[in-house]
Amino acid sequence: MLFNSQVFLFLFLPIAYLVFWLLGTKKQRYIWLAITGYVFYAGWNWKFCFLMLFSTLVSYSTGLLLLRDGWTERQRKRILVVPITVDLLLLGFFKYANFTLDSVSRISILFGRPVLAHHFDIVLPIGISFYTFHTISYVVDCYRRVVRPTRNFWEFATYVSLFSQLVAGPIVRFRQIEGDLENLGSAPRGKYLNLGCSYFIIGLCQKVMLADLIAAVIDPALAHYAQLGTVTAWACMLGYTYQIYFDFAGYSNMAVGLGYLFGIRIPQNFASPYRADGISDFWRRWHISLSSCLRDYLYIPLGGSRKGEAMAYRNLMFTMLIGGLWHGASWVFVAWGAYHGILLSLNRAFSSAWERIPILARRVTTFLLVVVGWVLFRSTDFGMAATLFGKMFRFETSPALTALTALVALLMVAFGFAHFGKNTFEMTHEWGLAMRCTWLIAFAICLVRIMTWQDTPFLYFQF
Amino acid sequence: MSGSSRVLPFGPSCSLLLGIFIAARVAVSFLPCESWGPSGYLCSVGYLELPSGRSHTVVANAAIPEGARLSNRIEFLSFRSERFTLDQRGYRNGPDGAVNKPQAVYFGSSFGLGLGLNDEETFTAQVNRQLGPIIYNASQIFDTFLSADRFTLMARETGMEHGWIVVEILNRGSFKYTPPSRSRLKDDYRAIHDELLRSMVPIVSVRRRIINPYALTRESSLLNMRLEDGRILPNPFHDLYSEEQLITGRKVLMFSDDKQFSQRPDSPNITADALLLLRDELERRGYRLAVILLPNSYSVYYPLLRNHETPDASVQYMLDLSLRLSAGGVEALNLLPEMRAAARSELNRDRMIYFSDDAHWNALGCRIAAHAAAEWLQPLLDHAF
Repeated sequence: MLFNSQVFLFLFLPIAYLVFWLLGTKKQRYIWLAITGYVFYAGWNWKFCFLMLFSTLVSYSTGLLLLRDGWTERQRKRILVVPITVDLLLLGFFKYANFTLDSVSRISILFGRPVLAHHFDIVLPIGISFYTFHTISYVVDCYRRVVRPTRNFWEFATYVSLFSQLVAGPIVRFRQIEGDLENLGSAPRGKYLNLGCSYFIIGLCQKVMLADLIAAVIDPALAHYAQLGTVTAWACMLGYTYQIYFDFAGYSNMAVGLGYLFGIRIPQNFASPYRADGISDFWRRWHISLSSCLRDYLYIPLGGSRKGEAMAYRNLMFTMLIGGLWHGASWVFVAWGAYHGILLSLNRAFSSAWERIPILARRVTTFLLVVVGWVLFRSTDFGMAATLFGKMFRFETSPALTALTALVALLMVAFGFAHFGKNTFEMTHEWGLAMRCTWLIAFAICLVRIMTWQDTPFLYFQF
Repeated sequence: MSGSSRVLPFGPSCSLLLGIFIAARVAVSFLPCESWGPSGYLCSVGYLELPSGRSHTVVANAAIPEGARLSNRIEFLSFRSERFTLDQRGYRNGPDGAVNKPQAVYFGSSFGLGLGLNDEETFTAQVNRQLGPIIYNASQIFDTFLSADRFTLMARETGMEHGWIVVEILNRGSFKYTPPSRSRLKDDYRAIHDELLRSMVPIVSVRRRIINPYALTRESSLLNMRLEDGRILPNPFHDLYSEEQLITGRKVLMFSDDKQFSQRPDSPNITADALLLLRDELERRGYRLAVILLPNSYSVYYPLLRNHETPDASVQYMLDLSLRLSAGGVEALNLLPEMRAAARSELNRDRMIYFSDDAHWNALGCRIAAHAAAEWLQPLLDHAF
């Protein structure tokens, strides 16, 4: 089920909202939210609800075990091994098994001893990367005593299956919404309804009016990437740069808005990343929930920068490689992670020199480096990436894109919002009459479009 | 939230708006038909998009012929009503539903589908009226070229364990059964229909139960095309159709590729060989193959044209193909002689058997073809297994 689908907007959401606020007790609301989460997930494939339930039960049980007194630190660590192993095995099997087999097969060919590896017939459970992160972060935080494990199964099930952040994030840590879950149903409903609608509509507009429209122009062109010239290749990659931002930021804003509707404050996931003045700054602004998880659960446990400069660079590279792989079972994503790892390392090595460059130049350079990185991210294989790089950096002419005028207009609008507009967490969401009318008209346009076009999934659903 | 206290707060305003849309969505569900648009063409595209597994009734209350629209010859535009009913599998088998356990399954193109015709006027509907409910219509908007396995699968799905697979071969200039190049041509044509033109009809339409106020703008804007005074500008499809004049002075639109019919000399052999192979494959699976050769409008009206400067090359092609199939033992019906004779006799009564604003047969032409086909099919069915 997609946030921008008729069944979600016209059926699922109104029922979920109305029943939630009609229920009298917190326990009933936990149960209702958990059920809605599973129904939402079943809209894609009901069979994988059992997988999510299994992961939930394992992590919940671990929390209960850690709650007992008397464990030594070593025993606590052992308890932690089981749920993390289970979660990672599930993720590894469903997401990376075929990738691993494929890689082994290719490497064996390189060494002249081909190994024929048959692929498993696996369907990647949607959102598994996200809810695995939710459960792992929960047990690790319980182990670290950052959160007190909950005894309430329904509260934990609500946290894992909360439909607003279930399939494409943001990756919300239990401690970030623990307070709101404890006070479920006692939030200021009127205020949160206003805030929720505001976030949701802005997110919907970002998705429907910018990301989807840009995609409608660049996707056909990128489907025939070999025919692109230098200008058209850059136009496409600029288009993709804004498409992925408004697609994912739009989704995140909708998730935040939905959270507010149910009295849960979901943290910020994007803070105007294209205004970043360095790659480190970019990663503090882009997909914040993922980058902070990678920092807290990978980079810092590896030693961070505490064990000397060389180890800091190693940890940085390793973290970004894993971050790249998390996005998809493909070496292209690993290369994208490596690219950003190298940029972050360079940023670290030359930070003082970098700071002396005028801020405008830093911002432009950072943006262009990110655009170049998206080439890897958008490419289905290295051949496509190499061709696109060739097109972008070696002058070639080509016929103009169809709908070039529309693309230029869209890029200008996207440029204005992404580089100069306030992000949703900088806004007050207190709209005057004119702005209210504007948002309502925009909402109506989005609804008409949703009713008349086929559903367009969010890019991050594939991760 | 700021603003006057008399103004509804933002959240409730949004909820109210959403409520209005939900009400509209529910109300549209109760409209008498699921989708209606300005053309049978649009309906047929809608047909492709409608989900299978349940019946649909699609009404075009102002059908615009494809040829006149695509070629910007709006002086040819005429409007007609049209009713589509799709069965549980998504095929057009009339409001009474599909034939259960048929004796033959018909795999046709837009001709078999009955583009521009009402349900009861379609080819299979008229054959069934004459022979009883024996034939299932599995036509699609494009020519059907499937593997033997796919034909068999479809036939079994209709409940036909043994019987006839009837394949429609249309002698259009651009649709040559000469694999693999024909698949590319088919893809191109599909691309034109699916990607470029489905929304270019310049009035509000209702599709998938939902009012679509900008049916016009979607792909046309992507192509930098626009409609001005009812014309597609710039129009890359202008040459798809050519204007011809009959001996009576009547002007008609015909498919340009039909006029410029060009086939390799060995095309009939290649096509026949492929069909013979298909026949063998089907027989191994317990089915028999029959082929109906459909003439294009240029071939049918060629003797009645005022200008004969472009010879009709497709006649020889059809004749060769027909002979090759017969020699190979494949049951084949060449409809060209029947249709040519009918075209002449009907023109004497100032009637056409093809739409003059499109390249498809009209209800009369379809009836004539169905009558000939029914007479040809009857003895085949009597001896079938």
